[in-house]
Amino acid sequence: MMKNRTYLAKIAGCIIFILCLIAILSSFGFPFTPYAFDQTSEHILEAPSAQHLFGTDELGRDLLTRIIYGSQLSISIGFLTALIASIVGITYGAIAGFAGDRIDTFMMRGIDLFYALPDLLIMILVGIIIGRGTLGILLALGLVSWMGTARLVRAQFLTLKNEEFIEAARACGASSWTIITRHLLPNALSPVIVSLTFIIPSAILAESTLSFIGLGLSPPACSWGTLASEGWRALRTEPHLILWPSLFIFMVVLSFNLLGDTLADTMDPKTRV
Amino acid sequence: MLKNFCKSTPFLLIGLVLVMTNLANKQTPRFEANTLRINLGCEPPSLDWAKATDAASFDVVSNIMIGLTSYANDLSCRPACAESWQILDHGKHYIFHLRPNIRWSDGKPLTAYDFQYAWRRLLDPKTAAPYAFFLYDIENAFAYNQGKLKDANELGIRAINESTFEVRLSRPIAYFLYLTAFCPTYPQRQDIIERYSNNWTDPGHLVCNGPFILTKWQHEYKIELTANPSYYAAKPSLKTIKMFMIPEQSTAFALYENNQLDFIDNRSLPTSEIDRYRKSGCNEYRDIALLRVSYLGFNIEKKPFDNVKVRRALSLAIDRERVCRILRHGEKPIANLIPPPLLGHSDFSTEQSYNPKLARNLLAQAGYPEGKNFPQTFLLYPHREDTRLLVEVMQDELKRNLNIHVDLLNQEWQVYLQTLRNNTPPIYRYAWGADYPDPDTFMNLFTSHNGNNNTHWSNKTYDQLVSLAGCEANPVKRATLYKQADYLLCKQDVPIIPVNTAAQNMLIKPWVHGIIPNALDLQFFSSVGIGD
Repeated sequence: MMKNRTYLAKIAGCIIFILCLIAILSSFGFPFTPYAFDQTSEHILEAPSAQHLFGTDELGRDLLTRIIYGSQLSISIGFLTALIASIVGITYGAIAGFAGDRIDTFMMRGIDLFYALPDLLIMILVGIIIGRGTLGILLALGLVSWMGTARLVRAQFLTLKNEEFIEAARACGASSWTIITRHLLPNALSPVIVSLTFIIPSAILAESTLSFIGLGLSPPACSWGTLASEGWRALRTEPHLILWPSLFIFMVVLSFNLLGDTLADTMDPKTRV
Repeated sequence: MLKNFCKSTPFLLIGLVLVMTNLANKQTPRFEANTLRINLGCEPPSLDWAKATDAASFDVVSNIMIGLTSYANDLSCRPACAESWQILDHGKHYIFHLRPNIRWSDGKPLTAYDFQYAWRRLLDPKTAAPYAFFLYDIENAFAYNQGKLKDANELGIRAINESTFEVRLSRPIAYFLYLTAFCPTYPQRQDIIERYSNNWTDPGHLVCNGPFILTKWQHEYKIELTANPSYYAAKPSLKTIKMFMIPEQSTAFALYENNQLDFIDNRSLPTSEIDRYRKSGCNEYRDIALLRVSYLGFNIEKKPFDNVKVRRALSLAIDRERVCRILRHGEKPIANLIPPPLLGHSDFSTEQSYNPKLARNLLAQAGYPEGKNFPQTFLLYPHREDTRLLVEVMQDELKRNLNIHVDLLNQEWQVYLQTLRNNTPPIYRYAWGADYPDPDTFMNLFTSHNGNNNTHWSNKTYDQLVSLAGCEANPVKRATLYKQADYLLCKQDVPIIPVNTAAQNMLIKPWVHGIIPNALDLQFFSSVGIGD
């Protein structure tokens, strides 16, 4: 069982690595075909062929190129959201967990408050205030995804801070700052890393959802979500337009989830078989 | 939280698929006897024909009401409420003689006073009717509508007696009769409107004189019309018209394929399906070129579009034929505002309207060689699927031919209209459909005083040409005047770039007979029948 899992995780890791590599390389203009943004009215809505591996869209653009270009945004949004979530979440959770008592209660009620607000509503509001574009989406996603991490870190801190090695550190005269950064954080980090592998695909999916309902990017920028949204309208006649972007979304989300599962198994000694 | 949100997505999707397959499998009879089922696309904002401005409202009103005249299939005016009319004083004085046997749906006879009331109400500043400009050529009408004149009796509108209606114009406009065939000028009942005030258009309150009456209005769902037993002319063979309000194209299309709608048009047809039907040669498919022009407008007070060379350069940098190939609704390229076959239209020629080299030269002369230092600017468009495609092509054309980048920004329709009026963006996308089959309906738009002229462009010569052409009786001279004005607007000063004319695409089930589409896109169902 365990062996099987690691095997899957390795494949998942490879897929993620390759997709990230493509996204990074493409931002340096690497595998762009001659049909990058050239809209050619002679090639509208062509089915996949040797020349256009994934076919072309309704403006005659090569879909493979669009998907590679879209991966830059989709993947970077995934990672950046995870970054924002971890920075805010870890700081918030660490303060709450370490301080304890009233401050802790107060801060946790704050999180409850955030939890109570519907995600989509917040994202739409932020989108309206900041304006549509990468920054707006990023902030919106970051804003709704840090609470989980914060709770996790706080819980870890609450259990760890009464452990003997912390008491020892305090007896040696270590400052609070040293205790948090040198002793508590490194020990609390493994579940956080696992949770990050779940935040990334969620963010990719959420960005796709936002773009799908038309709250995402403005053209000609694209992500997998906008591509899927455009393709969906021609579902019956040009299925390739929806097939490829959704396949990529599916692949990356599944890979991250598999990776996350395996990481959780390996890092948590209690569930180790 | 994010996770919860994502977790629910698959379930939603599965639900959606289940609903769709359920819809697809359900067996229903092919049609309902004597019932026409169509899609309005949205809730009509107002059924008060003095206030309505949009296709959904007009589709309802033009089937429950008739005016002084009505359109024949070839869009000529034929007598309706008016049995005959006299045109006196070289076209400045009209006398309409009403038919004696026309009754409202509540049994009261239709009189000339109903017209007098309706027209005065349309012009009353308190009504704030968007279509008040329709009657501006009536004596004192403009002053009255602007609030400068208080007494409605001074208007050139008068009911001489129960069956005679008199109109005096301030200038002999050639297209006046057309105005009497369109919704805003239909008669209205003073007693009904005063009794129910804002609710007078509700079913049960609303009285009408057309082939159908309004019997049901379930908001955001459906409107039901039934045949009017007291209609003066031949009774319609339809008993009921069900007008659904389905905003999603693909949903409406699925309903059509599943025999739950009998007739659909662009509002319910995804572009890819139009292609498929056109190519398949299916006899359910029909299309017709519309008198509807879509154009890009500039705010000529905003830099860099205050420079006429920049505007001309942009106009020359757009390959309109390519735009039409991409839009795929049967659009035709156009470089002038008057669409064929109207009087004074100019034939489209690619050589004259698309010249990237000349465009680059003009841009260089304006101070932006190869698009360098071109200020950041944006194009505003309404949030609708077909317009998104159009503006994306525009963006690409300008990037490729002039090397300038234009940001695209969209707004919801009502917000968009407000922005156009209050704070016109540097470039905007708009389309204008003819209200009557005459070039004036287009040319009038860009005269200095027209409320729909958002370009801030004002040109005395143009105003004069349009005004002269409006009163010109000789068609040849009229055409020349309109051509001059059109040239001034689209080639010389270029406050707008006309891009394409639209077409209506329809699917009509084989058991529906007698739907005759027209270029004004008005849909009359009085002669429609259902049956094998």
